[in-house]
Parts: sequence; C-alpha cells; structure tokens
Amino acid sequence: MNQFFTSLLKSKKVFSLLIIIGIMLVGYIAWVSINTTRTKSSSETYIEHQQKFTENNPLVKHIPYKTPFYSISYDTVGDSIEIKVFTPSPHYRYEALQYMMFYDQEVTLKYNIVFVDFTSPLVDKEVTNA
Amino acid sequence: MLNKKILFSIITGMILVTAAVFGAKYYIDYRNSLTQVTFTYNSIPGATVKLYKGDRKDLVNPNTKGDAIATVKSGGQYQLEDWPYVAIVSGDNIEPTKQIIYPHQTAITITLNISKNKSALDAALTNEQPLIQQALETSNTKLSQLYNIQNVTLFGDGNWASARLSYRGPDSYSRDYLAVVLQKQNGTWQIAAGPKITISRAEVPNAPEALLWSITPKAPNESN
Repeated sequence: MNQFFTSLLKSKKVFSLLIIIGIMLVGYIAWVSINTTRTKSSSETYIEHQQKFTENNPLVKHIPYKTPFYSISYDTVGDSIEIKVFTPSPHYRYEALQYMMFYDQEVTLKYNIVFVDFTSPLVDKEVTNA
Repeated sequence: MLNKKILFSIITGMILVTAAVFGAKYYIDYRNSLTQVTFTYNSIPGATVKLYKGDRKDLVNPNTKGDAIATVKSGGQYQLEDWPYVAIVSGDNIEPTKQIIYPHQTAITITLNISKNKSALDAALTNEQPLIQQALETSNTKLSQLYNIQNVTLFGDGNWASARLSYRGPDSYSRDYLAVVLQKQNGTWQIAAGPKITISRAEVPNAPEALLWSITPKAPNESN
C-alpha cells in the first residue's frame, strides 16, 4: 500500500496536480478570510451608535448646560431625547429656550421639553409642562 | 445566387437580432432609471395639484416646462425620470404653492400641505373666533380667570387653529405665555395640544407646519 502511494507521489503528473490543488486551497482560504465580514466589537458598535445619535440630535453637543440662573439636561428616549429645563423663573425658562434655539431653530418643534419647575396655573398641584 | 440570398438573410437576421437586443437593453435601462414618486396631501375642495416637468436651466428653482404632465391625486404613484419636476398647488381661495421634486432612483413620498389663502382664512376667522374662544374657556374653568386669549389664527383648510394664552393672574412665576392648538372635528373645536409653553410636532403630527411655527415661544411680559 505504502509502495503504491510512494510511486504515486513520485509520478510528476500527480505531484503537479497536488501543487495546483495546494495553490487553489491557499487562494481559497485567502479569499474567504478577506471577504468574510469582520464581527464588530462592542466598543465599535457603541461608538457607531453614539455618532448616529449625535447626528440625529446635534443639540446634545451643547447640552447639558448650566448657568447660575437655569440648567438644561436631557434624557434619552429611544433614538431621540426629552429635554428638561430647570428654573423657577419664566424669564430664564425663555432664556433657556433661546440658548437651545441658537443651536437648533426647531428645538421646540422637534423635542418634548419639560419645564421641571413650572406648575401650570391651570392644573392643580401637578408638576408638568402643561 | 442562392448563396447570396442566404447570406443576405443571415446578415439581415443578425442586424435585426442586434437591434432587438440593444432596444431591449435600452428599454430595461430606461425602466430601471425611473423613480417611483408617491404624492400625499390634505384634500381641500377647489384645490388642484398639477405636475410639470421642470426647466433644467435653474436646478435650484426650476420653472415649469410645457403643459402639465398629470393632475396629481393624493396617494397617486408616478414613475418619473431623473429630471427636476414641479408640483403646483392652485385653486380658488387656495394658497398657491410650488414643490420642486428631484427623483433619483430611490422611491420617495412627497407630502404637500395645502392651505387656504390668508384672505379666506381671515374671513372664516370672523365666524370661528367666538367658537374657538368658547372651546378654550369651557376646557378649563380657570382659563378665563387667569389668561387672556390672544392671536387666534386659522391654518390649513380652516379646521386647525392656534392661540396664545397671556397670563394675567397674581403669580409672577407663572407669567409664561402658553400655546394651544385646536382642531375642528365634526363641526366642534377641540383642543389638540396644550396649553403648554412649547408644543412639539409629535404632539400634533397632522397639524400644518405654519401653525407650529406660529406658536414658537414668546418672552414673558416682565423680566424676573
């Protein structure tokens, strides 16, 4: 049996065929390794998500924001944000809106804005924007 | 002689087959280059939307070129070439508007906000204002005691309205202006959103865009 394989390997045709198969195999492995999509690491996924989130909500580059008179923060709601404005003063609530509108003219139309320290005179004992 | 006939037939056949192949390819390429454009709009009696091919000389604001290629129905789908198009809204008492469309192979939906013109809305407001005022006052008994109702304005087909509430109560920490959006449904004005300091698009997704811009915040009367 061994003699049979030895004589087979010594045959030039068989040897050439094996070389060709070997080259094809290496080429195939190289091709597969290049074309297989690399699995993204969790940090890459996180960075990508953060970039997309900032692109969708460019205002987050400018908030949270704090002054002696008012502060602005936000909560993430899915792919969007809910903005919170903290100040008991009507004047500074308006100033806070002006600050945000400087960066995004449509901020009041795009986002739900909660004025945390504002109690509507129309609603009894309820802390709400309404 | 026979050979010449056969040769002539073969050459003619080849030319015809080649022409057919190129024709089919041209047709397939043309079909693939078309973009499906869907139009949606709020229907107002008397308003018509016509679609024109645009003039390519001014790509930013193209003029119409020739006659209208279609009278657009809401929900209608059109296969348009890679070319600027112009949709024009017109009609009696309708605010004339022009929408530029640039189809480019990705299916798009064009939403048109058709509105009555200012004079028609102002005329309708004379009758609607007392009803809007009543709807607001009955929505909350405190409202008429604490707020003045200002800037009542109609929008769209006249079935949307906005108003601003100006505080006149005793608490200086409540001086914020409040915005209200109302919608007339089944002949009755109802509050769609507010009264709030700000109202977002998500709260009244079907409201005309001009209405939303009319209620952007206003500075309170006195500084604090």
